[in-house]
Parts: sequence; C-alpha cells; structure tokens
Amino acid sequence: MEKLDRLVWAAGFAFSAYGVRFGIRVNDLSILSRLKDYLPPGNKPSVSSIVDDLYSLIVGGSGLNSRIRRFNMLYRGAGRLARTLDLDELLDVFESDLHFVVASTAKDRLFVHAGVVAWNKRAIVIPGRSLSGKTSLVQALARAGATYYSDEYAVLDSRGRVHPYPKPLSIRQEADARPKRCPIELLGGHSGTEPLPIGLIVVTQYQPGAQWRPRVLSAGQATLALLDNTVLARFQTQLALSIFQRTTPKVLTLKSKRGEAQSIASTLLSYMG
Amino acid sequence: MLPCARRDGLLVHELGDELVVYDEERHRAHNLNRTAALIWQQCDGQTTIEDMVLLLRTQLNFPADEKFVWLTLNRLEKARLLQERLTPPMGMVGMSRRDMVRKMASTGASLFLLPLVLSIVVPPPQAAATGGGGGGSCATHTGGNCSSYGGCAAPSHCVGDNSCYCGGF
Repeated sequence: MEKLDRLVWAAGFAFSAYGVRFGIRVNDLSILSRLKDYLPPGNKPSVSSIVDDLYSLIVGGSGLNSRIRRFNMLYRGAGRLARTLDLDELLDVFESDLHFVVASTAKDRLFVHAGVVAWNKRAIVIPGRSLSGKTSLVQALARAGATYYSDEYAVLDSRGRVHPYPKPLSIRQEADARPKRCPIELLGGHSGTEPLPIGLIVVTQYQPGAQWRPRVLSAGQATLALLDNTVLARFQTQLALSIFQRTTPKVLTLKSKRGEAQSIASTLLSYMG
Repeated sequence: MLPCARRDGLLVHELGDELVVYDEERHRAHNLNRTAALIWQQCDGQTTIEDMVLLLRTQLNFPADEKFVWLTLNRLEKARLLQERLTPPMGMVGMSRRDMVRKMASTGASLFLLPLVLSIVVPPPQAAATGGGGGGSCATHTGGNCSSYGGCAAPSHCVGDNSCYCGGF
C-alpha cells in the first residue's frame, strides 16, 4: 500500500453505497467521469476522507515511444485486482468487484444473485448465477412492459421487500463474449424506485430449444433456490432464513428450463394477474 | 438404539409443514417435506419405530409400515441429521424409493407423502456470484482487506466471522 501511496495521483472522489464508504483515486483525470457510470445504484457522494475500501486505478496509456503500451492496473487496498492493456476490461473488473463488495458488506440488506422486474406492484425474482440467462429474461420482461429493478441482485430488506438495484444491464451477445453495458432506458424500459413485495419466483436456466413446462416448488424448495444464490448465505444465514420464511410461503415459485426469453415473458407476467 | 436427531450446529426453520435445516458445520441446507419433517421431529431417542409408523398412519392417513420409516431415516442419516448411524433390522433394508413409489401407487396413497430430503451445499460468497476460492484469515474488521489472501489470486475481502473470500476475478 505504501508503494501505491507514493505514486502521483491526479484526482479522486469518495462515495457511499448501502452504508459502505468507498474512495477512488486515479492517475489520469480523463478517466474520472467514466468511473461514475460504474458506481452502484443509490450511491451518494461523500466528503469524508475515511473510507472502508480504496480503489486505485492506474491508466497505462502509451509511452513516449508510441510502440510501448503500459498496462492499466486496478487495486483495492494493497491488492491488485486487474492488470490489462484493455481499459474496458479493467473497468468491467472494477464494476464487478465494487458490486460484490457492496453486496457482501451492505448493512441491513440481504443480496441475492437474481434478476428482478416489477409487475402490478410486485416483484418477479429470477435467482441464478452468471450465464444462467437472467439478463436476457429480465430484458425480455422489460420489453414486455415490466419495470426494471436489476439484472444482478435482488436486494431484500428484513420485511422481505425487494429494493431496486438498477445497474446497467450486462448484455452478452455470445456466451464467451464480454458483456456490453446497457442502461435500461436505452432499451426503452424504465427503472423502479420503490421497494416491493415478491409476487413470483422463477427458477430457470436457458437451454436452446427447451420448452417452458413449470412445476410449482414448495416454500422449502423455493428457500433452497434463494439460499443457493444468496451472496452471504454462510454469514447471514439467520437473516436469510427469516426473510425467506416470511416470503416463500406466500409466493408462487416455478421451476423449468426455458428456451428463448421472449417466448415466455408474457406468460410469466400473466402469472402475476 | 432409537433414532435421535442432531440438534447442535443446526438452524431449523419451519415453513408450514416443511422444515428447512441449515447445518452450520457443513454449510449445507436441507429441505424436509412434511413426511421427513414429521419423522425427524420424532427422533428424540425415545420414540420407537412402531410409534413412528402409528404417527404416520394417523397424521398422514396412509398405510405406512416400518420399511417406510426406515427409508425416511436413511434419508435423514445421509443428510447427517441424525446423531448416530442406525442399523436397520434384517428385512428392512433394500427397499428403494422406486419400490416405495410402486407400493404407494398400488394403495392409492399420494406420492407427495414420500419422504423427501433435498440438500444443497450453501455457496461461499464469491461462488454465489461467479465462482472463486478464498479462506484466508481476517486481521481487520468486516469490510476491510484481509491480512492473508488464503490462496486468492486477488485481494481477499473480510465478509464477517473472521473469514476472507476472493474479491478479484
């Protein structure tokens, strides 16, 4: 950390999100405004110099000899997160790590890896890991008129309500490709602002050619599906189980493989009345 | 020896007539359906198999027998929800779930009454997102960086309970 501290930093800023205080410092002013697009939803600027986590971003750029390219580097505290010639790749790592740190240290909130949309004042929660097809399904539901809440996390409070976490969607054109960031507004959708009770849980995974043939899961099975995707399941177990105990008995939970997202979007919305 | 449920190191939550049991030692979560929950709750070291058969017949209204109870206990034992291994008497082993399904179908009993114990390994923080390792030790409070990386290629992050998990990708 001392080595990093000795470098010349051009600028920085601090913000807080979900009770966690972050600082970011950069060696190149031109990157500063771009970074603000990657901050977690609901972040608030902070004037405090005391932070819980400090990111240091070094933009490599070209040397005096234009044939030489220096690596872009990203650190959280003293530890290096990324070292790459591709600045966009580094920013993706920054965004992912930042969201994870928020999810794992947020106070009074339970983060479940899930896509979320709202319909008729209730939330549809689609738990799942990366590459399970959450974003595609969220995108299809938003196009069908649902309100976007998140393609990354269902943020639950102690009453079991889902709060919006409307980060830009991470849209993959192909499985191995780097996702492209896309605000929901560019897709013609809009983000939610109010916490909502859960109305439907959809446990699904994309499989080419699959037919949507859902079976209803019990409250216990729904709990396991949510717990399996809860970021801090091992540390917030009591909180997670308490929240799920309040919610899953009242919520329809469906499980099925699915084909293309557009083919089931309106069907899912119809379950919500 | 009469069956006795494990209680230490378990968090038990009721969900209607089901149970969700979290094993804090093994980081596994189990969902017991109504039948499995009924049997497990009777495993107090004093209730006999015959008592359990009677309970099932009364509560679930179907012709359960000792083999059915032993099948349930086997499921519970595999999930490490019993204190000790049980040895069923001769003649009580060998009934598979498929045999049980056939038998229940022949009596007209609902297949929902079959004992079901579903289990998952509850993932560590990073694995719940994209996968990753971890396991170093925290020298700082929750939210700070860890003193050791515990095998992570990138800096670890304290997530509470003195545990570190990989924060990089």
